[in-house]
Amino acid sequence: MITRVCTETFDKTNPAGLTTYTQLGGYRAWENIIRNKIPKTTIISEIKESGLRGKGGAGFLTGVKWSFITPSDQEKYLVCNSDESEPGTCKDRDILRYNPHSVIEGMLIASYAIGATVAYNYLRGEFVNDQWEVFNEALKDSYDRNFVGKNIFSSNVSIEIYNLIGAGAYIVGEETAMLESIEGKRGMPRIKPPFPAIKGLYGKPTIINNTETLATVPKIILNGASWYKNLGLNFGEGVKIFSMSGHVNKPGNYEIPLGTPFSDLLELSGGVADSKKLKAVIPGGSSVPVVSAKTIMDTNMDYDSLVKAGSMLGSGGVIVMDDNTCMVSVLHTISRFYYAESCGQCTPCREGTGWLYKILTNIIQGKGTNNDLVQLERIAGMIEGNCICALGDAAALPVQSFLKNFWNEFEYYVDKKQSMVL
Amino acid sequence: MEVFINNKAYIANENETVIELTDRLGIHIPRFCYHKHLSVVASCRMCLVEIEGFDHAQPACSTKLKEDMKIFTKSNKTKQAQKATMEFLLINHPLDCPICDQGGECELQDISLEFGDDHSQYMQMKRVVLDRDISPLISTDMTRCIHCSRCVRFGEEISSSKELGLLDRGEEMKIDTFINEGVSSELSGNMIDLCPVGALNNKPYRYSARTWDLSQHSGISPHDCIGSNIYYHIYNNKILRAVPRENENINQTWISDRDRFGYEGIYSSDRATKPMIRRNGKLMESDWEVAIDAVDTELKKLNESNIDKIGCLTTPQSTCEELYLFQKLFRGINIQNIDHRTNERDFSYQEDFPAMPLLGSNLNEIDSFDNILLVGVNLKKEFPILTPRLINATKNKTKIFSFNFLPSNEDFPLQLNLTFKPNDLVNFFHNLAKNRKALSSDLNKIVKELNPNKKNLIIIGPSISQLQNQTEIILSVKNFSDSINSSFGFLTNHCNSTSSWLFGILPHRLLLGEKNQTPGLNAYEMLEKPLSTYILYNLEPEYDFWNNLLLDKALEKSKMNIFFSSFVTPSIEKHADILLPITTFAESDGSFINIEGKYQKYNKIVNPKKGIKPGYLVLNELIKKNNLGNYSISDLRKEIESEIINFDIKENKFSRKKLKEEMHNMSGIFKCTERGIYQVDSLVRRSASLQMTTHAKNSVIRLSKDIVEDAEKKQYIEIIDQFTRFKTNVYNVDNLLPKKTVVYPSSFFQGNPIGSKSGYITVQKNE
Repeated sequence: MITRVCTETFDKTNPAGLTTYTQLGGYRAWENIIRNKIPKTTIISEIKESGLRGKGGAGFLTGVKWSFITPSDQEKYLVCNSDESEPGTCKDRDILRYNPHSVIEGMLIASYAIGATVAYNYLRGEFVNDQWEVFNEALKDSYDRNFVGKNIFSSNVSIEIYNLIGAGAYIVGEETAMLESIEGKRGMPRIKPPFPAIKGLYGKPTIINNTETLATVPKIILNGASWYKNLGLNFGEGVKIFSMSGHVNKPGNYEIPLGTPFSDLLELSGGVADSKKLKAVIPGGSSVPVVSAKTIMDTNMDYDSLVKAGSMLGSGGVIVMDDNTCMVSVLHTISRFYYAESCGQCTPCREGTGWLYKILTNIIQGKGTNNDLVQLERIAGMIEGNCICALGDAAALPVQSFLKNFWNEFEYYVDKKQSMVL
Repeated sequence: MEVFINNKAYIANENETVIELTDRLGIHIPRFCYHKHLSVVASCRMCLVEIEGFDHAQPACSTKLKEDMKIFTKSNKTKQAQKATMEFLLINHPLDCPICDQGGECELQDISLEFGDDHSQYMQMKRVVLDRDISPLISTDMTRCIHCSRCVRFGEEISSSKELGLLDRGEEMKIDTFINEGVSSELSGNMIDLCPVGALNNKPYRYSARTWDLSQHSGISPHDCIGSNIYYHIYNNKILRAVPRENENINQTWISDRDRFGYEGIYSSDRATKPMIRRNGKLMESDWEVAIDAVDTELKKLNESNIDKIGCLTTPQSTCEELYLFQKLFRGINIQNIDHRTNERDFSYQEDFPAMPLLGSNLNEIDSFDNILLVGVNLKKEFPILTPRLINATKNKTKIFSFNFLPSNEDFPLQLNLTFKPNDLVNFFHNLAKNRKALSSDLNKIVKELNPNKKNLIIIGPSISQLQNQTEIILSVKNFSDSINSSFGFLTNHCNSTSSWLFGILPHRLLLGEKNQTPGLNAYEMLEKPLSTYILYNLEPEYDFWNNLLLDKALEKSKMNIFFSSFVTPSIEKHADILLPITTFAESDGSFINIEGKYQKYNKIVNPKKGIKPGYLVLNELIKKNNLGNYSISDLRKEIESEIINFDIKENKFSRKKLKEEMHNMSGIFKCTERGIYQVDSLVRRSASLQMTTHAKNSVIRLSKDIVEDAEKKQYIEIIDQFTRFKTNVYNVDNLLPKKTVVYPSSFFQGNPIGSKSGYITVQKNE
């Protein structure tokens, strides 16, 4: 069931090495593009054709995104979003550590396709001791081989890649906040429109793609759009890494075809830990609505099926919770995260995330009332859709879904001043 | 483009946002972070409105209008979104309106009345933010802050002095300065107005009144020649604060701190409140009738034999009404020794000079120039209100060049920022006009930009008026200006230098620039050879003269010194034979002509204290007594206005096309005096709040590096010029000064008058 695309090097010795990568066909796609002067439009339509969707959370069609860049003389930029901070997600961490060259090659192909000559890889601050070093090393090797840099293979094509490290803010993973941060400013999301493809980094057209998305690109170019598309099962197209965490026996990253039933994924990761019963799953990182065990066991892991199940595929961070999990406590933890990570610029998120967290703390401390539950629902509704970026929604959606799915558990906690599962 | 607001059709402009249109139409949408002169951040989320086709309400400030867009400013969805924002803003906002100075004019208070709930659902602890003392002008209560970031954006975009920023994130986010820095911008007071809540407030005004008890009076700034429009807020016949009165053509929505706090000088303890007459060597209180009779008696003594022994001097800070009657009276009794240029030494430019100094452009067109050359002016320190205009101009691709004899430090980017000694400044412009090859290639490249095909403006600043070769500077710059077909103009020392010229407060000219066939002495000549009578109108002997020691000697030797003054200074106390206490600008009807040539009048803002009379009324009394007429304020203004109408501003030109070039060689160490930003006039000098700012505290002599090196390493130095000797160890070495330059901080140093404001001196090692 495991289908290795961007995790291909993971089980090899010296996975991050250039030779490991080239032996598996690495940089062949890029060399082919450069040597045979493949037109940009061909690359973009190949990506469009493959059905590749953004793997960072929003799931936007990558090829369509690239085609938003209109050909012009002005400077364009590509940014690889490696600020992987979504709770429950750890896939980019491993891609950068074990397969950095796939990211570099993906960045090169994407830059070439959109006409950018400068690309940035923005890593989250916590990657400084590991992935940062590995990626720098890999970048140096590919510069040495002239895969990157000036006048690549004497083709007159020049692409520079810079490695950047953040300072530990979740919000910088939001694409426009990342642009602000690269420009040296406070990491706060910009108002959209204008979208980055029109006015992005330094006011120039910019494409921001997730690490996993870019790491997938070389294989698609090498093996063709239909190869990738057909990797999917059922209604899914292509593959996706799911980061299994929580109460499973074998937590970790699993690259599997999109459309794989959740039950198969659960089995792959060793089933629910201690043979307990499954209670609920957050299927796409902490920002997406929680799904009850009953629903998720009948759902396939692809973009559309999860929407039908009332949630989203998000970043693929699957948090599994057994029936001993206190949902009040989980929500309390999640809401603390958004409270701590709100950038503070817009009112509903700045004030609302704190309010939610404080009410939930109250409940956890046994001081909650039924009115608090009503307030939680009301406040989440006041935040949702009223903010500049998606962080406000990300804070509101879990509250709404937890209350909807587990209202009785919250009511019990307020009533009895203790958790239902104790 | 047609759009619909609340189902009514309106025509919108291209690229207009929702809020721009509704503001234009007078349809109210609440907002906190939006301000028409600041960038749009859409962060407060107060202006959310329902727009057809969108799931959620959209911010009116950042949403561009599209054809057929349907906006609902009063629908349920709009109301819900706005109520939600309001509730969020209020949960952490303290309920201290009763003790908050912003109460009554608080945008948050107003909007919460409309959208807020009458009881709070928030049961948790409120946020508390610690305050720091950031400025003597701005008080902070940061717990009240709603994070609209207007103050931050003002610093970034308008004053270009980024002193406030956002620290921390989320709920802990706060507005603060960089570590232990404060706010020192010359425009900082505008943040008080921009702050929609009581977080940033007017410190000097703090707790002195409730806003609803104040009455509002229009005024014009008397502190610079721009003529910023101001509202003065009055309680119990006292000005308690000043705020900008919007005028897009002049000061937009801003005023400088000098204009905001300068009024404090009116309430200085050394105000002259009673007419005084010297009897038996002592200045004694008198009454108005006696004092005016005494002045009249002096005037009546004048005849053909002694008419040239009297000198009449006034400050160009006086109102048009005063200046007009000043010349009416003294010219009426045939006095020709009349002048207002008490700060100058070199007058030979005067014959060719236009009828009045003007800027050469309207302020609102200043961003249309390709190049602007500033000569002898540091706008940041001398005309802070122009900084936002020029920042905007540089964003519009205007290139700005600065040439000065003191180092300039501006808040907008300069293409060139050169500091010369005055002689070299003349040489430089001679070279530019004639022989461009004499320049270094780098310089030449930049200066090539300055050519007749571009739209150029050259502005000469007020500081050069103290120089002994100001004529040469004016003429060489004017010749260069002609060679590149540039607009040419001035910024002047005082708010009404324009009218002083136009009304002929000059020895060589009459009204509207007409030549005086029997010219009198200029301001310097009147003091050089002491006269028997001096009439000083609104002048402070300590600060308002080119050479305060020379003046002192002249007043000492004369028989009769008549002062019209708002203040009793030590020198006035020592020298005055008659003192007539007159009003400041605010206590009388008045008008000024600004540097664009705009005549702006205002009515009396507060009543003067008992015993003080409006200057124009005092002059009118004397005019009556000399049978030269009798003016009511309306007659007077009518006459002034008809004179101004008679003047054709297009004819305001230098009289000779090609000006004579002269070169004086001067050697020695160049001495000059800085025009401190809060030293420019008698009111500002007495503004306690302004004197507490960092700008006012710079009071040491600055020496160029070579002087100190020449004088070896030693404890203190001795500065010797024609008039004074100073031994001082209170000096700074300023590496930016041209070689052999000494700069005094003011006309007084360590309690001593410094004599001439500029000149050539020696500095020696103390033995």
